[in-house]
Formats: sequence, structure tokens, C-alpha cells
Amino acid sequence: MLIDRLDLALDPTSGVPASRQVAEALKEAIIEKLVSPGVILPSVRDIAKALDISRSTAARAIDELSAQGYVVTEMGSGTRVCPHLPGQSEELPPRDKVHKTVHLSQFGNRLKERFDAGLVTAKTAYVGPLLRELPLSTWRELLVRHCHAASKEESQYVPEPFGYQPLREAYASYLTRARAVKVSQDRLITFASRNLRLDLLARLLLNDGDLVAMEEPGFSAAREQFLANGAQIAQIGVDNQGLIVEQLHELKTAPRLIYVTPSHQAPTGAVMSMNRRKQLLEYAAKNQAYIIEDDYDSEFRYDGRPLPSLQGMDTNDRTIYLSCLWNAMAPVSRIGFMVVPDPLVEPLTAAKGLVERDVSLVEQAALADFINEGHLEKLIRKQRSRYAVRRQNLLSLLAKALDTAYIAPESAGLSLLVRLNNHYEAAKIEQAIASSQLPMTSTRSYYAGDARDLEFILAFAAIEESDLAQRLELFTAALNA
Amino acid sequence: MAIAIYLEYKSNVALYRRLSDALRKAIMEGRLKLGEPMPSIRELSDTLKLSRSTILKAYEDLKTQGLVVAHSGSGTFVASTLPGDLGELAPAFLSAANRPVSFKPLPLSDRGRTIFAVGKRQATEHVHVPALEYGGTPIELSPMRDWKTLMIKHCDVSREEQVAEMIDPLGLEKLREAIAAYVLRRRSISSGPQNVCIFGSKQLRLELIGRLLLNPDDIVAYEEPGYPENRNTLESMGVKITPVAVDTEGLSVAALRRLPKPPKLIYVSPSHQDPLGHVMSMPRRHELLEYAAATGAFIVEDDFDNEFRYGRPILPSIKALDQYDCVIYMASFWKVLYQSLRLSFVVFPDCLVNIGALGKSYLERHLPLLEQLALIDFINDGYLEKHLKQTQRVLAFRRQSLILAITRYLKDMVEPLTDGGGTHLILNFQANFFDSAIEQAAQQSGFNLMSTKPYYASATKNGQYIVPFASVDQNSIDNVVKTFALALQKQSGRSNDAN
Repeated sequence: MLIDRLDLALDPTSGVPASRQVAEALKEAIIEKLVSPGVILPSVRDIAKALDISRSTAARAIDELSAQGYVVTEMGSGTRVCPHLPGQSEELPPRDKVHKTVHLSQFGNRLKERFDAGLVTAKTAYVGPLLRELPLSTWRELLVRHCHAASKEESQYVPEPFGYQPLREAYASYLTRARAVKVSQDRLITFASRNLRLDLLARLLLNDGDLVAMEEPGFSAAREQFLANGAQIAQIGVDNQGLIVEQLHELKTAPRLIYVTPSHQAPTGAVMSMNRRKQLLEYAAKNQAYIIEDDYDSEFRYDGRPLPSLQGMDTNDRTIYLSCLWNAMAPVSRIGFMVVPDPLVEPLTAAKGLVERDVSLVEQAALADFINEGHLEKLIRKQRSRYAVRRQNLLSLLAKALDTAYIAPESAGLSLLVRLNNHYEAAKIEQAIASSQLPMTSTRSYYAGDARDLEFILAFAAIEESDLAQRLELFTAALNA
Repeated sequence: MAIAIYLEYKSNVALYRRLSDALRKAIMEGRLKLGEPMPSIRELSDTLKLSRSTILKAYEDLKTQGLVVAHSGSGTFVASTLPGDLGELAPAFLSAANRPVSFKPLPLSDRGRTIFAVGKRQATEHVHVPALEYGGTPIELSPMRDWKTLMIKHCDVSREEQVAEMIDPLGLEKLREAIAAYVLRRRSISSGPQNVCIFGSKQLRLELIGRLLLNPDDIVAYEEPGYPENRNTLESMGVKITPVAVDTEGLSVAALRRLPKPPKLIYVSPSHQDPLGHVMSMPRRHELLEYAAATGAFIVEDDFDNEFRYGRPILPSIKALDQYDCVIYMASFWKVLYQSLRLSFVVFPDCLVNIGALGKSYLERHLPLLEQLALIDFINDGYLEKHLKQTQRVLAFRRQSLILAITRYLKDMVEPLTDGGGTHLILNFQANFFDSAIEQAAQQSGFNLMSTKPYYASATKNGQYIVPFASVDQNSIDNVVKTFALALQKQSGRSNDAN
């Protein structure tokens, strides 16, 4: 019998399970061609008997071989050695020498180039609210309310690419009220996270080489999204009134898209003036361009009322409006929203349906209630007063600790732009940041062109006062060491 | 002051909150005017029969929302400006009708037009069959109680440290470890956690793979028939979809070899070919791998339906056999958790791990924290396997009762049953039954079925239907199929007479 030829000797002292030993021995015999492909193996009963092991052990050994692709078990006809063994094809190099070369797409290659040049990374530091400062018990209540089996809304729910209707209604009414956005729920799109919004817009609206005008300095993540999709970037300067619209007129060809952060320019903090807003809207209308207004943190203003959204002033329907709850409640919900002009509703319905037909219903339903019952506005109010104190605290700490050349005066957002006097050494500062873990980063990535030396962003919001003070102390100590 | 307050009944909401919600609504609707006094506490407690303290609490709540202000001595007033109110209402909503004449929409890009066309087609061809939604498993078997417990457990301040880990576009390390162990256990895939990438939407998986590897006009070999949604996602990128025939052993590699130019990507569902249900044979798996290795193509193995088997052999996944680093494996948790969880995952080959993570950060940088934490426990603490087992038991029973009813009443009308997928059977009706008659009879009798037509990219097949058994009711199915058979006979008799 086959088994006897195989010279299977089990070693009970090895600690390796008997089934594994049998499987390994059989596998070796198969690879060495002691048993030819297609041959029927002895039955489990025979193997068990020959080796004096239990049947279940023998069966386990066969299962293992089957899972690895060396044998096939067919009902009624026993177990055969696979006619085609893994890695035994002759045209192919042996197992460990295979080196797959990857031919990336244009998109993939662009990403790789940016990565190799050190301009992008897969991971970036978390900047968002602290979990302990969120109304977790309320959120738990809402989860309980919506997390139950076979609720009516669930079983009748047909996924809508634009998101769960009650949520869209709730957020639309919030945006109308709080940001004077012209919106109805059929123009509002819900996204599970933020990134897809610009990716979809870029693909729908840009051909390779098309021009996108962006603030310089400006959001690097947005810039990278456009670049990855083959766009050219026109860098438009920023002053204390926001985007310098005159510079748009100097461009040889008009951009198709103009990406701006008018409520709180990232990173300078400038609020776009009324005058500039009018100029920009006029420019877009005249040049058939779309404006993308990223209203990423307008909730957080510390002096008086926010200006209404740019989109709300636009009578030409040329503004795409982006908003998201990241800065308010990232750890529990990272849903992003987009309000689009009428002609984009249909294309986006189609496009969204292809990449994200569905967002978790529990999260959407919970969020809808969170908004409708006033929790969102309550949370933002609370955060705003908390962050105002932290900002004030940071300003007084900074005055004592560092010799600053400039602190952005605009009182908004979750971080502060600071320029240091040039007797500091950039390398030494980087070291001090690393050792003190101060939430301070260079603004380098915000610039497509030459960056400004000794310019930093200090994220003050999601860190407790005492903690920030402590880190700043460590930082100055490291700096002066 | 008379004010109509309607306290909506919500079982989970405290009374004072229900009152403050109602008052908030009245303020928002302008029934309580800005700057005017709020109804007095006594008034409210009299009309609503609520305690003073409840009303005080509601007012306190409104105060924190900035909707009311208290002036000492003179009572509580509606705020003179509402929070976030910008002093002016948004101008009238723009519609095509009142848009300026000069308005010209920005034309879509070339790829935008392709996306639009494919997306529009998908929206029209997608038939909503409730029994086929939710990943095909019945909603009443969804383990929502366990899931809720886990979600609540993790919605807690003690998870602060994990928040910083949200920055990994591949997903939480612990979750990737849990999934790596799970696919090793169930599918013999030994790639390890560094190759696992979590996605928040299942469609994004192929979107990312396609975007990273395919240029417009590149060739993708796709099972014919095959799952339409994934084909559409690929097609929207402007690639050339080449349908490749499927036989009882799975995708025909011989047909692949006959293609004038080898594809860059090959899409297969080997566990249960979707929709026909064939299990790809072992020799075919090796043949496919060798073909891919020789031509440099990547294989996308969609293992969407590996969980439920009914006495059929368990074969290792193609990924488990892959020594050429060319298989991209995808799966999800829809079979058990569709209701609340949209997370799915990919196991990349080594050569795609780095670029995969980078590309992921462009499409979806952050994943939901609570869901990920809950899913770690769900996998590691055995909930997942327990629920799969329970569901399989129920499904096997329902499947059996459907097969029984079909054999009893439809034997002469359909070709012999072959196995379908994990949650459906495939019925091939004899040629003398028209689709219109079949569908009408199905509607009349309440028999759930769906034509396989959307699954075909080229010539469709008449009389081929998917019959889901996951939601079959054992008590009534016999009767439903019987009614269907009678109705179909009647229909067909009529249309044959007419011919």
C-alpha cells in the first residue's frame, strides 16, 4: 500500500500536532512526485490504521492538504492528488523568485512621483476634537435608538446615492440657517468621508491639463487631489482680504475650477472681504468657471457673527459648497457634505452611485436626530467658547515664550498661524517640536511654490490648556538648550 | 400666552428634551417671536401638566442652545438673534427657470461623460428586490443586539488613545490583525495584517484598484455573466470590459488565452460564481494563476459569497494558492452586518501594499472609529463565526423548502436545478415560457425572482432567473410556488393561443 511506501514516521516528542506531521509528510511525497498527480490517496480509515492515529487526526491532515491545494476531495470518489500542483508549473520560475513588477496607471504613477519626492504621505497626524469633549452619552443614546434589528426604516430603506433623506433635510436646514447656504435636500450630497468629494469633482469636470486656481498658500490635500487627477494648478496669492482676485485676470487661460476657503483661509486665517467675494463671483460667472467653497471650519469664529457663505451670495449658481462635521465630531462621525449647482445634480447622482451607493444607516439616522434635536448647535457653541479660552490662553503663553514676528490676527478656526523672528534656526525648532510634542507644524506643505521660513501652524483647539502650557514649556526649554 | 405645543412621543427621549424640542420648533417656525417673552412656567405646567422642574430643565436646555435668554427679574425671553442667524434669509433658491440667460453649465470632462453614462445606466438597470438586498441575508437574522452592545461599549472616553490611530488609511492595526487571522482561519490566506486594507464603501475597493492599475482603454477580463455593479465601477473608468465565458468549473481560461491581447486585470468570483453559483475547480484555479503570472495580469478575487455552503467542497481561495503575488482578494461583512456596517476589505499582494495605502488616502483617508472598534471584538470574540453558523443553519432549511417546492410544481417547466450562490438558486425556464409571462406570474403569486439580464454585458439569456431563498417563508413557499406554476401555465397558454 502507498502508505507503507511513504515511510511515514511520526515523532510524538516533536510537539508538532500529529495531523500536521502527516500532512507535511504527504505534501513532501506529492512534491517529490513519490505520488503522481491524479492518483487516489488511501482513505482516511486506511491512513489512520496504518499510522495508528485517530481517524479525525487523519481527516484533519487531508483537510489541511486540501486547503493548501495539494489534493481534491470529491464526494464519493475519494481524495486525489491535484493534477495541477501549486507552484509546479514548468514555465514559471520557482516559488520564492517571483518578483512582480507593477505597471501603474497614470493616476498611480502621479501618486508615486509625489510620494517619492516626499510631498505626500499615506498617514497624516490627527487634528480633530478630543473624544472626551464630545457628548458621548447623547451619541450612545442615539446609537441605541437606531441600532436595532429589522426596524421599519431599515427594511424599507433603499440606498440613495445622495444619502439618507432625513439627514439631508436636517443638514440642509442647518446650512440655510447657520450659513445662509442656498440649499434644498435634493442638491445636498452626503459622503462617508471628506476625500471623495474633490476626487469626484475633479474627475467629472477636469480633463488632463485643465487649470484649477488655488490659494497660495492653500490646502495641500485639495491640491494633491487635483494634481493626482491630471490638473494644472494656477497659484493665486492671498492677502488679508483673502484670494487676490485681480491675479485671476492675469491668467492666460481662465481656470475651470477655483478652489477657495473664504470663511477662514487655510492657513493664513484671512476672511475674504465682501468686495473680493463680489469680484470672485463676477469673475466666475463671466468665465464660466465653478467656484469650490470649502467651508471647513466656519463654525469656529470667536468675534461676532460669521460672514454668510459665498455660495449664498451667488446669484449665478456657479458655486459648489463643501462642509463637514470633522472639526466638530471626527471620532464619532466623519460625514462630509457637498451642495452642488443644479446642472451637476444628475452627473453626481450617477457618479456617486458608482463609488459610494451607501453610507451606514445607523450613523446617518443618529446624525439626523443629533442635528434636529439641537445637539449639534449646542456642541458647536460649547466648543466655540472652550476654544476661545484656549486661543486666548495660547496667545498669552506665546507672548511670554517666543519672539514672534507675526501672529495671524483673524480670530477663527482651530489653529493659529505664527511667524517667528529669524534669529531662530529652523532645524532646532523641528527638533524642539519633536521632543516636546507641541502641536505645531511648518506651513511648508501649504505652499505649491516656495514656502516661507519659520512659519508655523499651532493647533490649539483639541488640547487642554494645562497640556498645551506644559508642552510649550518643554518646547522653549529644548529650544534654548 | 397661548401657544400650541405638541410633545412628540419618543420612547428614548427624556421628557424635558421633548419639551425643549417642541419649543425650539416653535421658535424656529416663528410661532414664538424673537425678543418676545417665553410662556411662563406656570402657564406651561398648567396646560401641559408637567412639573415645574421639567419645564425649568427644558428652559435651561434652550438657554445652552442660545435660543432663549433669561433677564433677571423679568423672566425668560426668546433670543433677539438666533444662533447662526445671519440677519438675512438666503435669497430664493435658484432653479433653471430663474437662472440668468448668460448661464452656461461647465461641460463635463471626457471621463466625466463616461462616468455619467455608466452611472445613469446602472441607476436604471438596478432593480430593487428587497429579498436580494442586505447582502442577500434576511434582515431578521442580523445580530443587531450584539452589535449595539459593542458599539455602546466603545462609545466611551476611554477610547481616546485610539482616536490618534484613525490616521491610517488602511484601518486600525488591531482590526487588520483580526481580519488577517480570520482569513487565515477560513480562507487559508497567510498574507498578514500589513496587506489588509479596510474600506468604508464596498464599491471603493474596485475603484481604488482600477484607478491605480488601469488606464483608459486597458483590457479587463470579466466573468460573463457577472456581478453588474463591479463591472460598472470598472467600466466608468473608460477601460475595455471583455466578457469571458464561465463554465461549470468557473471562468474559462481557454477563452482567456484566445483573447487577442491579454487583459491587465481579471475579475472572478470563484467561491460561488455570481450569479450562476459554480465553484471554480482546483485545476482551474491553478490554470488561472499560471495564466496571470505568465501574462503579468492581476486577478481580482471577489470572495463576496464564501460564507454559506451547502454540502459543497471547501476549496482554498485563489489568494491562498498565489505564489506569484498577483491576486487581489476582496470580501466584506455584509452577510451578517449589512444593516449597520458598510465596512469591507481588500488583501493586497505584497507589490501593491505601499501604493495601495497611498492611493487609499486619496479616496478615503479616515474610517469610522466606533465601527472599527466594535468589529474587532465582533471578529475576535467569535460573534462573527457564531452568527454565520446560525444563519447558515436557517438558510439551509429555507433553501431545502424552496428546492422541494420547485421540484414539486415546476419540474416540467424548468431545467434541472443547479446550485446557485450562497443565498439564491438559479432557475432556467424551458424555452416555451416567455420572460414577460414568467415575470407576470411571479408578480401575481408573490414569488421572488429576478432576471439575470443585468449580469450579462453582451447577449443576455432568456428564461434565466435568480431566486433568493434567504427570506423564504417555509410555511407559505409551497403555496407560493404552486400559485406561480398555475399562473405561469395560464399565462403561457394564453400567449401561445394568441400566437
